[in-house]
Amino acid sequence: MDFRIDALLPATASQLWAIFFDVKRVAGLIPGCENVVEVEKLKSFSATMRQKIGPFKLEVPTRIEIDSYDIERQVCLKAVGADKATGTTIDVRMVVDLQEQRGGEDALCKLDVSAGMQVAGRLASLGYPIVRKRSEQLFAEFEARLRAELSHLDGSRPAEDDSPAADDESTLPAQAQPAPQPGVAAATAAGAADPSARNAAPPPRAAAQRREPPPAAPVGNAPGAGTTELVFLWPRLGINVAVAVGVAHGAVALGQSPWWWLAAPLLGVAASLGRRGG
Amino acid sequence: MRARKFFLHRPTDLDEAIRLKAEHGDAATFHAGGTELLVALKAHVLHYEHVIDLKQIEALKGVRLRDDGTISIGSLSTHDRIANDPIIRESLPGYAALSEHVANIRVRIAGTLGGVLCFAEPHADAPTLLCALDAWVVLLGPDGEREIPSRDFHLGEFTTARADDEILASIEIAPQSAGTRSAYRSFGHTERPAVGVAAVWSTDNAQRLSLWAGAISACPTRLSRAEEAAAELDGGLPAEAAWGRLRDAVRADAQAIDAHDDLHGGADYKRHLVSVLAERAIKACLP
Repeated sequence: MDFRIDALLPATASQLWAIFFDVKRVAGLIPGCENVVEVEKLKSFSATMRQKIGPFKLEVPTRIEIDSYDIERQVCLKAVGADKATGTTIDVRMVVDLQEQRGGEDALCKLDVSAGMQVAGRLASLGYPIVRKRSEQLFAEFEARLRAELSHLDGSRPAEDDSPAADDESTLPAQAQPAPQPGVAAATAAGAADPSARNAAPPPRAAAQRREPPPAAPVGNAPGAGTTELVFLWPRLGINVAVAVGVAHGAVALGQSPWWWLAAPLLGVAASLGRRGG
Repeated sequence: MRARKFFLHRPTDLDEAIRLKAEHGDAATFHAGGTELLVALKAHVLHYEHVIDLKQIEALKGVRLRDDGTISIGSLSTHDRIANDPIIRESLPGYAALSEHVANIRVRIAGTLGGVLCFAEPHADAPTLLCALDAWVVLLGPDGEREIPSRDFHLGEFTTARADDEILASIEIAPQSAGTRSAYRSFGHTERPAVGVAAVWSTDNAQRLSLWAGAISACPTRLSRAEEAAAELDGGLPAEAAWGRLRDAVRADAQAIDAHDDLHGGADYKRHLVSVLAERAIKACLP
């Protein structure tokens, strides 16, 4: 199943980027997406997707991977998960393109979300139309929540939609509305930490180009981010302890103090500690 | 595949059943015939720790004719029981015929009307004709009793207006006038209908035709253009002539239905079936 959101939004690319590159934040816009945890910084996340169709409940532990990104222009991600209870698998590939368009005083950004979704398993046997209909509802709800999020960003303006299904109110010309606040954009944008980069000419649109994440990336406030954790390293621990026991045995056999039995293994254990994270 | 273990409760009255549901909440579900629920439990697409079997509750069984002529069908009435009930056969022969042809004999013996309505699988026969008959359902829950027209009961695939803690007690059908005839025609490659069309034609009533299509979309759909066209017809038209005047309206209604391609057939094919089955159902209602 392929889905597409094509909308002209009254926001800067930075504002939209701040939302789309903050996986926790964008997950909050997806109905039923919960418990988002950063597994690998700016690359891999885990989440739980919960959906309900009548009595059928779906709870899919999902792994979200950011394949590539081009700051304030494009992010490609995939989400794969399986519900053990119902044997249902979900595979979503999504490309989000942002294209800033300046018209008069207003900053507008063209948002193009292309997604391909595969649902398989016992619950998919409910029927393609039912799964597709629910998926369409999810995307529609996602777009509505995104517009609401944007209206919070820049005050009270509704977003503009260039899709044929948009109602009359949402297709009001953007020129009649106040311009977005650059300060707000700078404060919230994921890529706003490097102002020089934003003022420079736009980078080439290489979809697979991976850049170093900005220092003020919004996912940086994930639990545990920036801390150092001490862990035992395998198989180093086993080797070290075995060597230490051998050394202690030799030392005692040669008439040294029996305290070697305590000191040597402790040193072996200490030498097996390593750092993770940071 | 075997269903996972669950506690089976067998209440003997409605109050006890409602109390059990309130006690166990989302971990419990009501069980009637089991032709839908048990299949889903065995397929492991549904799991409940507590299953409340309603089959011991006598108040939910049987077909009754109320004093005002309303037919009250208990929600635990099986399709076979409805097909052979003398009240239904005399007053609603079209509905008796429908019940005679639901799925297969095992489903007709075990499956209940209440179960079909509450499970809300779109490919079902009974909801379409009940909508055409303008039936209504009676729901009982912790907050008391309420009635909902059948036309408003179905909200979508597997979704109804019934709250999780409510029990569908009965399906009520208003008395039909002497000149009213009903018919249901369906077609499908499987035991479930790909499309079903129900017609209720009343020659002595201002509302002359009630025409509904089911199984083709999320819930039964009214063919309103055809109904309006039928209201303009002269009385006493033979079936062929009446259909000739309604054909275009029915086709327009069919084209407007939100149908999808699925295992039961392509959307265009199913829309075509609506016209074919509507012709058969309407002609069956007319002399």
